Amino acid sequence: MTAVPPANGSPEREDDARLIERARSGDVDAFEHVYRREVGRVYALCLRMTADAPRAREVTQSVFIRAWDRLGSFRGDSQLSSWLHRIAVNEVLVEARTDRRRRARVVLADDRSDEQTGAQLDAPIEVGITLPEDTETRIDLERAISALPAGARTVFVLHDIEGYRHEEISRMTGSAEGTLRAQLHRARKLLMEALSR
Amino acid sequence: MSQDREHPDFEVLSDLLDGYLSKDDAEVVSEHLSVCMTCAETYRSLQGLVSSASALPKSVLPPEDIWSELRKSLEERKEVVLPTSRRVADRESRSIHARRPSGRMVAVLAAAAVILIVLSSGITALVLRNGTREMAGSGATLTPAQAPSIVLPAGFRQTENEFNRTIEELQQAVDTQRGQLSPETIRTVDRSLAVVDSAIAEARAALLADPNNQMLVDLLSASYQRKLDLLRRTSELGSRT
Repeated sequence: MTAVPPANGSPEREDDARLIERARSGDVDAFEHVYRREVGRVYALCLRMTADAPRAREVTQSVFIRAWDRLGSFRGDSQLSSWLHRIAVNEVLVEARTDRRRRARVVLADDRSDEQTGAQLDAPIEVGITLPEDTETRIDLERAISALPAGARTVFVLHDIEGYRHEEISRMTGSAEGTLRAQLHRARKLLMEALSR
Repeated sequence: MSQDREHPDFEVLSDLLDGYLSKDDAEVVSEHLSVCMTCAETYRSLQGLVSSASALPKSVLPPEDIWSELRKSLEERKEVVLPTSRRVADRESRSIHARRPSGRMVAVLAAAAVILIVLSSGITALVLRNGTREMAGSGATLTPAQAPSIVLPAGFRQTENEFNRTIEELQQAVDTQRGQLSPETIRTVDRSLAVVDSAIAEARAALLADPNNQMLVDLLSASYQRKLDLLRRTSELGSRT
């Protein structure tokens, strides 16, 4: 992952431990703190991987419901955000598997509207993030990513945006590393073509 | 790959960027890039793309607040959240019986088993009626183990492989945790799994007989998903005890 987990005993880890302890006992307010802090990152991943804002919203909800159900399995040996991120990747992949018809419709949609993707990418962003070059370029890139075929898009988002290694993506998706590399080459090539137009 | 005369493929440049080329190949390609403006430009563009992608915001807020909706769902699910986890020292001091799942949790699993039985035997029978008739008419008696997967819709074969991989991982996790679960819980889980497996086998056999039936694809997917959910929940239960 791109983010490096803090060392054991860091204030962030201790905060997480307290929140999780409270949430495990059914304290929804404690879980709301976790939600508020992590929803942006989870939603960004879901939005980029699904390329569909309404679906991304649904999957984001599923991610937090799943996390709530699985609070007992969070052992604190990884960062809370990394743990949630893994759940999010898995939820998107499972959702895509169980609704292939809808995914096909999204991938093939050439006339994707701003309401579905582009406009959403103007949403508030995390403070402190440096935009690549300018906002217009960023939106062009986001649009081009959302138009990629589903397989290539998944690998590009996980590898080039989220910083996962092929080995990790292979474990998550069940695809061979060679296949993933081929998908990544394809995604990069298609993006360069799209952005040069 | 003689880089002096031939331009490297895009894939080679992409591998160079990711550090996947051998040292020798990387040297050859780098040498080519130092003399070929066209390839050097392509490589710079590729570097720019990857750099821009990694700089995209990692956080995007949803268009509207979804917390209130989510909160409602969580409140409804409180019923299946176990009591607060204890400190390690407390855990050590508890008896083996105290560490087992509560009767309430077992009741939840038992209820899930009943629901699965009703859903699987009722809905599955209803939906599969046509498919089963067709199979009976053709004399086919396919089981998942015997059925050639090549007959399944191409798109679903990959999905099924992915489901099976995840199920296998979860099954291994559950198997290692069996010792931590009470016999009653294990019996309930095994019964539920048997019901789901039966539903999967029926849906799969019907899909083999009628590969274009999207409803059967959905039903089979839902059955696999139910098995995943059951194994996940059991695994979580095992890890809590």
